[in-house]
Parts: sequence; structure tokens; C-alpha cells
Amino acid sequence: MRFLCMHKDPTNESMDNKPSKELIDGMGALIGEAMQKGIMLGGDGLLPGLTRYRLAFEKGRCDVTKGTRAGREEQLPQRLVVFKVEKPEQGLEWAKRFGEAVGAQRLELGPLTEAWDLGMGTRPPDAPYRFMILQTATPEYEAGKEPNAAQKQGLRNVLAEMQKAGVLLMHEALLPSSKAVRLNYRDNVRARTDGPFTESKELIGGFCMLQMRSFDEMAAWTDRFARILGGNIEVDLRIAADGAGGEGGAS
Amino acid sequence: MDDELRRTIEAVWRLEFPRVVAGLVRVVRDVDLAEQLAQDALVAALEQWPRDGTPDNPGAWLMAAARRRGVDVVRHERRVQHKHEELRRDLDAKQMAIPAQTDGDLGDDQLRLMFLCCHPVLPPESRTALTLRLLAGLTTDEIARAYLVPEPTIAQRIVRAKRTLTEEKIAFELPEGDGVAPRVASVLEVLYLVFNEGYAATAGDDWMRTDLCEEALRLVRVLAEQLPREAEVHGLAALMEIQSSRFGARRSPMGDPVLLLEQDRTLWDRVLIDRGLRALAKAESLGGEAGPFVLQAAIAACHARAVVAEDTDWPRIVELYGDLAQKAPSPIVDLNRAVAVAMAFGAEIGLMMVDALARDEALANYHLLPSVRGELLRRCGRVAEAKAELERAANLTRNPTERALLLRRAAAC
Repeated sequence: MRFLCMHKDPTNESMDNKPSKELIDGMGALIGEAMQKGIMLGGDGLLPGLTRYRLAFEKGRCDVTKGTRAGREEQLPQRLVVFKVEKPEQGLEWAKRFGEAVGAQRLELGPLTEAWDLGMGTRPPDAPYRFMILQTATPEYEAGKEPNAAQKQGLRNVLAEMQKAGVLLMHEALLPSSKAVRLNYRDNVRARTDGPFTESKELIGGFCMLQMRSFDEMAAWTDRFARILGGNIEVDLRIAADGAGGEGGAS
Repeated sequence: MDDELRRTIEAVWRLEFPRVVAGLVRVVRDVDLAEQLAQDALVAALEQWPRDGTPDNPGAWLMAAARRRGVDVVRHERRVQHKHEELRRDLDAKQMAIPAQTDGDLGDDQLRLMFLCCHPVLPPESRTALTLRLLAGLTTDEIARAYLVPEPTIAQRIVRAKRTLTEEKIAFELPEGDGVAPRVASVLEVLYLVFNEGYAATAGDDWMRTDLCEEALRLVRVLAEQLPREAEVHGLAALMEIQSSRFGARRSPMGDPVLLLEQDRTLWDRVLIDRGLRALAKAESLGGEAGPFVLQAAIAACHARAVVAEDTDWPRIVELYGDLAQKAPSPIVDLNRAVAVAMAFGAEIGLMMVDALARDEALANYHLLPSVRGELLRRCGRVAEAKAELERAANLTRNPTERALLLRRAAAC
């Protein structure tokens, strides 16, 4: 099974919080171990909330606001898309196109954290700009309802378009939060809540994607992950839907 | 102890089990004893963690606890053999120094265990059972469900395999020089068998079948980390990643199989495709003549790179099947090559090649031959013959869904 470990970022307001060397080394060792075990599939961090956009679609209109702050609204995604573009402004263009194609009500768009954002090297002149779309969960999705035929076709079309343009890097549909687990760490002590979730106002700071066999295995791994991040953090464990388009497909 | 903590300890143990066993095998030189000692480490964790807290690196803790027990056992045995003094020096110097973190030999340990589980002295079904038990950490019950056989059968295979390893006095040392290649080939063969068992499944416990593919994929990734200079290891990894990327697309919502060229490619898994293409690039960067797995991966990659089926680089696939036919000659490879030729250069020339193959005894009762021939005849406009061939193919297959599909195609001619 494919799990996503999505951590919340309580320090999301500031651009100046560079991670310590200790944190980077610890995370590097943990990820290296997961690679040696053959279970690491990927992962990325998001830049702080003030660099993100929120897109709200209503009656054929798309309202864009810049800067997302913690504590405003529920942050529960139903789908993640990672893509790369040559110019930063193309990120917003693709996000709009994606939202319209799949009939989204709301989505977040954020630039991904690159090595140079963490103080390692400088941006190479030809480096692409990577973004993540987090399509926000709707009540229908949370109730386990399949998207309608037009939404499914729209998704197929826009994914094919992104592939043809060579921009698509990853697309993961997630199972509803009724099939998710939330872990809250206080001083490294874990409190586990089984989904569905009603409230969480913290912003997602990034994700790790792992091949694991159970929530218990995933939680055990996340204990170490949380410890490296300081031991006071909230993490959602989500299951990737089986097959890119068919959420609700895996049970 | 609260239930959540117990479940966490068991999950950690399951995650670390293969590495713990691998580390123990080096110390105690007995696969069965290693497995028992790994169980003891779980018991120790269940006793101590609730009292002392969960260690920062639970895997390293389990490894250290298990190894201490292993050293005790070995020391005890040797003491019985009146070699106490000599041994104490030996063990103290070599094995009591348990590193705080993980162990530099960890990779070697895993490799050693892989070579042992897949040793050519064992019959193939024992190799897969032992591999899934010790390297994937599946229980005998899980293996039995995946292979649709009774649990005692699997348990028996594992017991017998362990006994054979002992009786044949199989060396625990890593092979060297010329000895490496055949042992690597044997591991790759086992992993490929496990993967195909899961991939080709048409019946049985689907959940466990997917697990077989995932475990085979995980193990080939581990192997590629350990043997970065072996092109065929990266080749098999690439092949499995790319084939796995199509899982979500190869069945219709009604559960019918969907042919490769008709699959919805937006359902293909980008993450696995990218991993597969990277593994293939690594294999190709090592130079030398491409082996069968690298060639098959390169063919799979041609499909993976095509955003729509029409973009497929068929001339390149023809070339790759030609190379594969030389490396690993088989009438099935020839048949696939004929299909690629038809796609690249026209149905008529493909049909000529298939007609030549039809004279091959080995393919006489193979349903894919008339199935391919029927399709090519249809494309050449020879409708009546096409219909007859597809019906013949339907009669030859034992798989009911496939038969239904062939009959539908025959009726559509």
C-alpha cells in the first residue's frame, strides 16, 4: 500500500526559519534508511503559507488570493498534483486550468522547497519551478462519492495535457479521511485519532510517500520522523487511492 | 500494556525483521536459529519498551538485543565444545562491539541472506517461500494465501529448505569473483517469479497478490542498493517498476482486462514510471551488452514514454525484441517481435512473420498465436480468416475472461 505522511507546519508564517544542520542530517539518515529498505517512494516540502495561493472556483469564476495562513480554514486535501514549469507565473495558469477541468471548488497552490531554499547552493539558472496543487476535500468526496463522468473526463484530459506538455511529475488521489489516521505529537508522545476528521487549521508543510503494509507500520515510522522535527507536530497519514483516477477504488 | 504500544512494537519488529534476521545469520550461521532469536528480540521489546520507553532508533535496538542473544548462544555452544578461552577472545574482539547506530555490514548481511534464501541447491518453490518468509517477513499463512495453497505446505517447504541449507553445509560467506554472477541471477529469477505470481493473478486473494508484487519490487530495490554495479539488477528493478505503474489501468471498471494499447494512460502511475526510467538509465550507464532484463525494461520504457499509444516508438521496440531474441531466444519473444513489426512497418509483413512462426511446434497450442494472427488478418482485410483464428484462440485459452474477450473480438469481425 502507498501511504502519504503529511506533516503540518506550525511555523508556516516565516520565510526565515531555515532548518538546523542537525535536522537536515537526521532527516537525511531516516530517508536513507527508508531507501535502503526499498520503501521510500518520494516526498517534498512546501514553502511557507505566505508564498501559496488559494483558488476558489464559483460560477465559472476563479478568485485567487495570495498568502495562506494557518487557522483560517480546514486544510484537508483530496488530491495532490506536483508539476514543473519554466516560469513561476505558469504555476498559477496550470492550477487554474486544472481546477476548471476537474470541477474543483477550491484548491491551494504552493511552490515546493528546493535545496537552495534550505541554504544548500544557489538556484541553477535553468532549474524548473516546481509546484504542488492540493485540491481541497469536498463533503461529497468525504462521503465517498465518486466524481461524476464530466469531472472524471476533465481529470483525464488535463492530466493528458500536462503529460504532453512534459510538466506533470506526480498525481495522487487520496482516500477520504474516514480511511486516514491523524497523529498528534506532544514531546514525542503520540496521540492517535482515526478519521474522519472535522477540524485541523494547521497548514500542510510537506509529504513523504512510502510503501508500507499497515497504519501501524506507518505510525511507527512517523514516530521517528516526528522526533527529528522536534517532537511537537501534527501529521496526517493518508492512503493513496488505487489507480490515479479512481478515488474510492481501493478499500 | 496499552494496545497501541503493543501494535507499534509489533509493527517496528515486522519492519525490521529481515534486517535483524540478516544480522543474526552472520553471527549464528543458522537460518532457523536466527529466526528464533529474532522472535526473542520481539519478546524482549514487548517487556522492556513499555517500562523504559521506546528507543530513538527501534530498529537498532532490536538488532543489538538480538545480536547479544545470538552471541550468548554461540558462546554457550562453543563452551560446550571446550573452546571457551579461544572463543571469548574471538567473539569479544569481533562481535561484542555492537555499534550504537546501524552496522556498516548491514548491506552485506542482507545480501548474504538473499543469496542463501535463493540458493540454487533449493528447489524453486522453496526459494520463493524462504524469501517471502525471511526477506519479506511475511507469515506462512500470508504466503499460503498468496499462493492459494494450504498453510502446512508452505511451512513444510520452509522447514525443508532450512534443513537442506544445513545438511548441504551451504557456505554463509558472500561469493566472490566468478561465483557472484550465477548467485545474483538466481536471486533475480526468484524475485521475478514472485512478482509474476502476483502480476498474472486472475484468481485468489487479490490483496495478497498485490502484496507479492510490492514485496518483490521492494526486494529488487534493496538488491539494487547493495549491488549498484550490476546492470541486470537495475534492469529487473526498472521492469518491475514500469509494469507496476500500469496496475490501475489494466482492468476496466467492470473488471475485464484492458490491453496495453487501449489503456487509459493517465491512470499510469507517474511515481513508478519515473523510478523505472531512472533505474533503466542507471543500468544503461553501466555499459556493456544489455542483458534480458535490461532489454525487457527498455521495451517497457518505450511504452511508458509514449503519452498516447500512437506515440509509441515501434521501430525501437522491433530492434529491442531482436536483441532479446538473440540473448534469450524464445518463440514468444519472436511472436512479440512480429507484433512490433506489424505496428512499425504494416500488418502484412507482421503477418508473414507470424505465419513462419506458426510452423513452430512450441507454439502449436499457444492461444496468443492465433489471437495475434487473427488481429493481423483483420487489419489486412481478410475478415473471414480473422474470425476463424480468433475463435480458435478462444478455444485454446483456459482463462474465461480472456475467452470472452476473444469471442467478442471474433464477433466484431
